[in-house]
Amino acid sequence: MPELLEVRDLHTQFFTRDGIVRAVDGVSFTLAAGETLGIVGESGCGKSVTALSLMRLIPQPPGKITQGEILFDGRDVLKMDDDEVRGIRGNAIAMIFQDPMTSLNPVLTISRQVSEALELHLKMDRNESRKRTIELLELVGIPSAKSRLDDYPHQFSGGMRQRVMIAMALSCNPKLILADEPTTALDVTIQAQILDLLKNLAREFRTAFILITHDLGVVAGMTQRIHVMYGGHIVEKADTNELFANPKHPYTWGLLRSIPRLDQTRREKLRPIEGLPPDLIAPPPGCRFAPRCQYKRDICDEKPPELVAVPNAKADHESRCWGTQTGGWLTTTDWRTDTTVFTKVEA
Amino acid sequence: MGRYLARRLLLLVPTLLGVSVIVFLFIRLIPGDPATAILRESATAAQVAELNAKLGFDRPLPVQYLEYMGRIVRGDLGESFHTRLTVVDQLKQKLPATMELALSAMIIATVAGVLLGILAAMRRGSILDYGTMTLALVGVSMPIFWLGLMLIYAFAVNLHWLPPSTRGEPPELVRTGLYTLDYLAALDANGFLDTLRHLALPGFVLATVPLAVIARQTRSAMLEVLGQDFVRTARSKGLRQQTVIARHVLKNAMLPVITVVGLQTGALLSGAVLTETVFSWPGMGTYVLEAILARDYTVVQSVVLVFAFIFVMVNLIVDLSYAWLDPRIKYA
Ligand SMILES: Nc1ncnc2c1ncn2[C@@H]1O[C@H](COP(=O)(O)OP(=O)(O)O)[C@@H](O)[C@H]1O
Ligand SMILES: [Mg+2]
Repeated sequence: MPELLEVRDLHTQFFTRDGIVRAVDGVSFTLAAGETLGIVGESGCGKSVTALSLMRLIPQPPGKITQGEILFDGRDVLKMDDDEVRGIRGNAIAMIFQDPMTSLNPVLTISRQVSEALELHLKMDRNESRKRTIELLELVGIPSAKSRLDDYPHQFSGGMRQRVMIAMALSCNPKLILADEPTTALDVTIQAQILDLLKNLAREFRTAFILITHDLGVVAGMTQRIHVMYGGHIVEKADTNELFANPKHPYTWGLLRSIPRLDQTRREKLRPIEGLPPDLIAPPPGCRFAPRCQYKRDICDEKPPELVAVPNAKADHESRCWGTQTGGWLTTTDWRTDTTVFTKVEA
Repeated sequence: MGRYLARRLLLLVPTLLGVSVIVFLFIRLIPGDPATAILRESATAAQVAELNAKLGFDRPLPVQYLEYMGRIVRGDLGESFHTRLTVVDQLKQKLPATMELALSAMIIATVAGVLLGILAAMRRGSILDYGTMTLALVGVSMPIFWLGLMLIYAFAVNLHWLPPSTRGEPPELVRTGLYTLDYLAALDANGFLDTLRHLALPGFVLATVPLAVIARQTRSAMLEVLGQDFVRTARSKGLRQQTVIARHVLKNAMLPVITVVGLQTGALLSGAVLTETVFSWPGMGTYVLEAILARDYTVVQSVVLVFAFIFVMVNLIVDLSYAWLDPRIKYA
């Protein structure tokens, strides 16, 4: 199957007064039509910048995509002229942002904001776009959609606003939706509803989507594959099931340990990874996770590991870790039964 | 909305009362008195006292104030003891003159200020940005009086491009008192153009400070809004930069700008006094200045009251325009 999206060696940097922030530092991945992918990692590791780069929405200055290729439908987005990129935005690729409170324009009505892309890309007139807007709002589950067309964002709750954002993203039948932490700003109960809606609609429309989140618990059951990001790199790629069953990067282990679980005792609950993500202006010279890794050896501080196939695992399972590579010292470590961490954290 | 309006209009009463007391006292604090102003220095103290008594200015201040306010509430703004002309009649002529000048200035300031502010924000950090903001700084710190004289010297005296003073010939039929409108109504192109030529210099001079302030406020409001999430959303839909600015940024950025336009319109009243004096513009400014020099207490009090009334009304209009621009604001 030809790939819908192929990202090769993407580098996006911000040229700030303090130095060059290497926010995305050599990211490559592919996505087939209709496929779903989760990108997971702590805040500040380059997830949003990756998504914005795909649509060329990086604020410039200070940002710049300095290297790489983004092949969408076989064409390099980075080589397109401005008109061509605008032709894709909101049309073939749509984006849903994190905070529905600030992502909608407070002084324009809902219908105005949803119909904009319809008029722009599908050349609908005012009447057609209004009709289609009603359908879209009904589709995303906004009650009495018709009577709410001329309401303003402040008249909607956070969850309802995020539904509006989803309606907006779906409006032109995109081939790819980028959802950047779409539920982070919402109540837990609303989160599940919004995720369900996104999953069902994407399936119905056969839309590929990339779900970005800092919470591994959120992508479970949402996407077919998961890429874990850390410090501007992808550090582990796997099938969702494979990743949960057989994770092969200490950072992923840390993320898994920090998911709240019902069967855990109170004492063991929520074990955040100690320390902070690396400074992307001057990242560690070796493995970027090494300063926080309790399994590290000397080589980890000295030489950066590559993203390579994990031994004795599914074919497309890759990890960027000296320890879990062929010949490494962690190939047989099971993070669940490994008690060294537990004692270390609880001490 | 109706209740809000009623409450705001009710607030006018204490505001105007306060202003009236302050002007009443301050004008009497200035050295000199009406009789001396009329009789000049040569008059004897007895003559001065006699005339002041005749005019009623020898009575206790509370009596004078109450008597004055008693007339005000009956809609009588009094008359000049000097010229015997009633303030109401004078205002009929002078208010339109000042309004025409102030409106011209505000139109110049708002249009040019908003445009410059937008351009500066769009080309942030460019020569255009720095140039505009430097000019804006010069604009706010320029003494109006001096600028007016310089422009008269350059464009009227030297180049003979524009008339140095006055409003020009009044139209045959004065309806609104705004000469531009009256000439337009009479379909008199020459008269209209001549009025514009007379308006150009004083209008520009009066516009400099508000223009500079509006340009700076517009720039910073634009930059603030440009950084908001919903602008990124708008871009992510594939809209052109112009559409993003026109549809998504401007309306949001105009909210703080309107406040400034309103405040500057109020502040314009003081600028108008200076500008009118420099350009011999027959408006409220020259009127009140002459009245102050003549210690024409009644006229000064009434004209300042009218100024205060206009100021409050302008602010009310500004507040109401928020509700129109920003759906989140509801007045009740
Ligand atoms: N406009 C910007 N200017 C400077 N640095 C930025 C900008 N946007 C993002 N960054 C930096 O890029 C890095 C990655 O950010 P981001 O992709 O937003 O992280 P996240 O994974 O939380 O989405 C961070 O270190 C952040 O500070
Ligand atoms: Mg983010």
